[in-house]
Amino acid sequence: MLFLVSASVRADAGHDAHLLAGAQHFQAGRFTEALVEFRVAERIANDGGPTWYVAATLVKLKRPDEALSAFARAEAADPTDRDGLFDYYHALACYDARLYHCADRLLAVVGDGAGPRIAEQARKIRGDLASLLTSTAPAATIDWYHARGQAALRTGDGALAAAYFEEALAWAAARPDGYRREEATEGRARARAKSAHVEPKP
Amino acid sequence: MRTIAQITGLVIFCGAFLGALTGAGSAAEDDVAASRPGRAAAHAALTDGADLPATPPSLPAVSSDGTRRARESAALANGSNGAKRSESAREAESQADQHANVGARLTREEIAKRVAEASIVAAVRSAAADQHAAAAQARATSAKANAKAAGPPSGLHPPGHR
Repeated sequence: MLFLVSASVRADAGHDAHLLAGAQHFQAGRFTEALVEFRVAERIANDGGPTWYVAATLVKLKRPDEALSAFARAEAADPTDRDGLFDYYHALACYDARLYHCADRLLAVVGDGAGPRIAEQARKIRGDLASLLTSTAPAATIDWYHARGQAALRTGDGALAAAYFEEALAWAAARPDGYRREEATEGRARARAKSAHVEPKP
Repeated sequence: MRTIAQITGLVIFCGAFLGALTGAGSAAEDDVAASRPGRAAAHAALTDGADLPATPPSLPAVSSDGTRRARESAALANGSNGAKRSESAREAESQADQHANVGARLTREEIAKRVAEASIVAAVRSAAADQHAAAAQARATSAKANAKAAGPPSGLHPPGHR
């Protein structure tokens, strides 16, 4: 038992050192280096905590699809670590992937827990999104989300596919003709079934 | 009598051990920054780096070539109404427009294809580099941890370690 406790403490100390190194790179704007450190921490950690930082760094690297997959992985592995700051980065990943309903949902729950500056930024982005979200999306837009969802399904990324189908569904719901609505519901169900399988660490 | 004393001792030891564990847990929650400086620093870095999106939101769309072609055809048809041009001249102009449109579309498609290919190559390279670097570092860290676990040959621990 003592051996197990000692091994766990060692892994914890080891991954924390990499989180620290990653934080220094992140602070200095060296996001690629930060990503490497956070990924090392993710590999040797006993929990999914570092995955949240991997996801946030992918947002800074403008790799929103990968970031969304990482956020889904983090949520599944370590939901207790989720907070307003991670929700904000998650919302930015959605925004960059043009999943605006997803971004708005997350920004709505950011609150003041992430600090007054981030809370204010969240409010501003929601304000920018407001008029867009009340508009009616053309069919070509919904087609785009379906295409992205199908592409994610083909690569086996169920969580990402579900996010795109969810967005297609939200836009379809606002149209009188409910354009491809059933298809989106079906796609989302298939994607969720796929994402229910354990997603391995990268 | 001796057995009872041993059992009592064991119970006290277990109680103390559990108490220490729960006590340590609540203390750690109170002082996460001290016990896990890496996580605290990473959180602080993320807080500092949280900025606004660089671009305004805009709806995506699949290729609008079909819509554009339809609009162009309609425009051409409207333009010919009432025009004093011969049938053959209109036909020639229409054909020229059509060729120009097809040429422009092919060029755009070619450019888009090349950009997409370049993006895919860059993404694959980038992902591979991340994975390789992370794997190498993980191996190095694991080797260091194993070496530390084995401890120094004399049985002494380095300063600051217990």
